[in-house]
Amino acid sequence: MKLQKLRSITQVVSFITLNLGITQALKTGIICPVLNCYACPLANTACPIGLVQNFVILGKIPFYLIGALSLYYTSLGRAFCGWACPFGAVQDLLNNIKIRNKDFNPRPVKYSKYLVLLVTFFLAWLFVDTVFCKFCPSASLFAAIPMMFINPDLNHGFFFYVHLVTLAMAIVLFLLVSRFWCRYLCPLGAIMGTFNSVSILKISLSQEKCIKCNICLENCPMGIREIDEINDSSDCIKCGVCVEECPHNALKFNFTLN
Amino acid sequence: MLPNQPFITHLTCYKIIRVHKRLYHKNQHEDDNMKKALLLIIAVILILLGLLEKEYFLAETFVRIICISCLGLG
Repeated sequence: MKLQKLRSITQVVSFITLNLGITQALKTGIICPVLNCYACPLANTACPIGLVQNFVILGKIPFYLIGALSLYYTSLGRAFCGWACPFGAVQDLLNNIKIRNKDFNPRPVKYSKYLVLLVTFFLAWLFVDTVFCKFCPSASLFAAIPMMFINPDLNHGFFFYVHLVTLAMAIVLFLLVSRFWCRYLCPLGAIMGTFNSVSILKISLSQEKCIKCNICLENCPMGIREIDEINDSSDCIKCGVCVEECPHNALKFNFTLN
Repeated sequence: MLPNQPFITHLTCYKIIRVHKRLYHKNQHEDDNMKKALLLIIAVILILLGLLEKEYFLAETFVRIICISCLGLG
């Protein structure tokens, strides 16, 4: 089976798995490895960014959260973005509409997701509220809109419209730049990216087979510019597009401790 | 020091950081295996520590109580 077909299947399976909370008994305290709002009507796992804000508000160190995320990301790194994140899947879907600007890839802006992460912590501490959740476009798509349909009697407050605006803006940006959210804004992607170079799942490059044709880089949805940055860069989501596109099979997935 | 956690938790956390720092520097010029194994061990210790602090149930509460105010609904 082709790698990208397999990836589409895992994205669908992941979306279903993360939304199996049909009854209260199926809702768990397991930490979700990807950005999936716990206010989704059927969510069964806890969104790490939502949870970390609550810990900031409570003034506690989230040992369980840090431990779970370290375990996930030391194992697979940012492969969760590429293979399991429902919001990433939406971006991949929109990426098929070819109106994007391939040249838009400013390097200094890449660090903006780290700034978003810090601002998320700071605002939670400052306002004693989960401020990021009120703007999160993932929450708009997977929680606010479905909740509006499930319970039409609920009043629409100011932040509901803010959610709609952020979602509309996000969709426009996704159409223009592939994986815009993952590249520049996702605070969870910022955390995941730091584990990429030490993760057990790797994309390894065979120097003997590589003829430096750069087909892998031309097709990279994250806009990685150097072959050496594949896998080790904090931006690599290990989606495997490069592995599949390489005409000389110079790139391959492997599990290694080295 | 954060006020809402018992002393034993702070002590364990401090010890983990100390051990991690020491082993990280020791292994900088050695192979990566030890570093990754260490990261995984620390992750498991942190999960156990969090479970002792009943953080799993706290996370479960957030999943069960759907925060409609976060979505701008009410």
